[in-house]
This record gives sequence, C-alpha cells and structure tokens, in this order.
Amino acid sequence: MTLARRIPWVLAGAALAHVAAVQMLPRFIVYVVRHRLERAVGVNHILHSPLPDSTWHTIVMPSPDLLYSVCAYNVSDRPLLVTADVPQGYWSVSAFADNTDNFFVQNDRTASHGRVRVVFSSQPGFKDPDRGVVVQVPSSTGIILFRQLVLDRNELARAQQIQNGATCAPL
Amino acid sequence: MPRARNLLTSTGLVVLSVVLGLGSAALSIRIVSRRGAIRIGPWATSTTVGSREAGMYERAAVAIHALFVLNRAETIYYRAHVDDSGRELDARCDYQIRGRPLDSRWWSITAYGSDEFLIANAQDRYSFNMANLAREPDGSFFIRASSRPQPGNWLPLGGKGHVSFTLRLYVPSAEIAAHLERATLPSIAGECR
Repeated sequence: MTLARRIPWVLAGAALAHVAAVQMLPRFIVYVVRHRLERAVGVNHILHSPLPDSTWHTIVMPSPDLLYSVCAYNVSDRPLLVTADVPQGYWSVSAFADNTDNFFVQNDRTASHGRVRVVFSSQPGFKDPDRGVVVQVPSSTGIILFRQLVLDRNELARAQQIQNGATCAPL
Repeated sequence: MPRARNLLTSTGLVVLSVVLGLGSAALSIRIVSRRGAIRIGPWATSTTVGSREAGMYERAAVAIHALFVLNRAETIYYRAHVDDSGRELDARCDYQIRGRPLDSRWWSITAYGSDEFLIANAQDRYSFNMANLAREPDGSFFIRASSRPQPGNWLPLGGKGHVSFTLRLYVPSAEIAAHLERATLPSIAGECR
C-alpha cells in the first residue's frame, strides 16, 4: 500500500485516539484520586484535611478558605451512610460520579435540623431505616467532598472540631 | 528487506496516529478549559461545568484543571487566564483587580500557579474574600496582584510562569445563576516590567 493510501487510516487512527483519550481522561483521573485515598485511609472512609496552602496538592484548584474532607465511595455491595454536623457558616457535602459529574449537593441552608444524614445507594428504591435522604448514585464508585468555610482563622479549631465530626461509612 | 521496511513504516504510521490523536485531544481540552462558553471581559465560565449536561471536552477539562467543581446552582467559577487587554497572565507582571461586591452568599478571588495549585509565598496569602478585603470608601475593592510587596490588598504571585485567577461565587443570586453572562465582574489591568 502506498503512503498516500495510508493517510486515511492514519487520520482514522488519530480520531480514534483523540476520542478515546478525551472520554477516558475524567474516569482515569478520578480513579487516580480514589486510588490515593484508598491507600491513605481506605474506601468508604473519610479523610479530613487542614486548610489548603501551597503545600496542599490533594486536588487541583483548592480554595484556601475552605476545610475539605473527602471520601472515596464504593457502594457496589452496601449503601454508604454520610453524617455531619452543620455549622453556622457556609458548608456543603457534594458527591461526584466517576466521570467527575456533580450529582448531589446539600449545603448548610438546605440541610435541616443542624445535622445531615445522607445514604448513597446503587439500589433503585432503597429506603433508609432512619429516614435520611437517599441518593441513587449514577456510578457505584466516586467521591464525596465536604467543604466548610473558615473566614476567621481564630475559629479554625472550632471549625476543625465540626469537620472531624463528619462520617462516611457503609450502612 | 522490503517486508521489514513495510513493517517499520506501518509502525511509524501507527505511532503518528496516536501522537496526532493525543496531541489534538490535549489541545482541544486546553482550549475548552480556557475559553469557556461565556466570557465577561477576561473572565470565562460555562453553564454546564460540573453538571451532568457537560460535554466530553468539558468533563476532561474539569478533570485536569478544576476537579470536583460544584454545579452552578451551588457555585459559579469564573476563571481568568488573561488580563483586560487579552495578554496571558504572567507572574512577572503587576495586576490591578478592581470591582464591586458580587451578588452571592460568599465570594473570593484566588491566584493559582501554572500547576493549578496555590502559589507559595511568605505571607501565606492565596486569596481575598468578601470578609477580609479592605474596601474603598465607595464599597468597591482593589486588589494588587504582584510578586513584589504592595500596599493594601496584596495578592502575591510568586515571580515566575503563567498564573490565573479564579473568582468563586458560592450560592450565587438567582439572577446570576440563571444568567451567568450578566454578572458584573472585576477588571484586571496588567502592567509588565
């Protein structure tokens, strides 16, 4: 086959590599983050981080005003229970599918009674025996991220106390 | 011999395919991450970032440059990689960021290095937010972003390489969440030495 005849095959191969790379990249990067978390604290366990500074390289583009806690979830076998005390200022718990989509978020104003109880499940129609919010996950693995605003550094110890009260564990 | 040459050519063309495919993918993702669907002066954002409606290029851009961003009902992220005149933001330059308070529950402006992480500086100053900004008498604000010490609201830039600014609007007003293009955002005037 002449070189000219091979050009369409080269272009087709390039298009295939292009689409495959773009499609696979989000899942690959989430997989890497999950893998790191699993090595650090295990799956379905929460990791509480200090306020981000220039040495903080856990997740790109961190906000230096937020305390982050993160949990790599896997609900293939059992649902996951997330609980947290809700502070006065801005606070949220959000969930991300293995393709980076943000499929759930609840903040301090949408949460009720000062405490959050959310069950993440892959089973359609699952009911929480303790009447918490039940979220059906779009992917059985992903990431749950807590954000807590700390505007006054003098309040950091109190904020970290609240942060440490958040849990992420199989139901 | 011709057979060996044929095999070598085929291998070379396969490698060329992969390089072209990966290179064009990287370029496309970079363009999508920088341009955004909505532009206001030097700032760019998207209505679908972080959501299930995001396209494949936007998801890939999020994975590399802004992993785990929230959807726009919760937070809007405006990013600037250029100044008002369209020049790439550079840590060797000085920038004046001028604006008025933004219509959201909480907002902040953060500087990032080319690696998308916070820029090391002796002051441990990485951002300004609605609570810690010194305001002008008329309520507006003025941030000086520079690698050299500056009076007032000084946002250190570190001194080398490309930098970017991210404006976060946590729980934006319903008006802004519905019309991201209508927000009145700060200007970024650059001066390079």
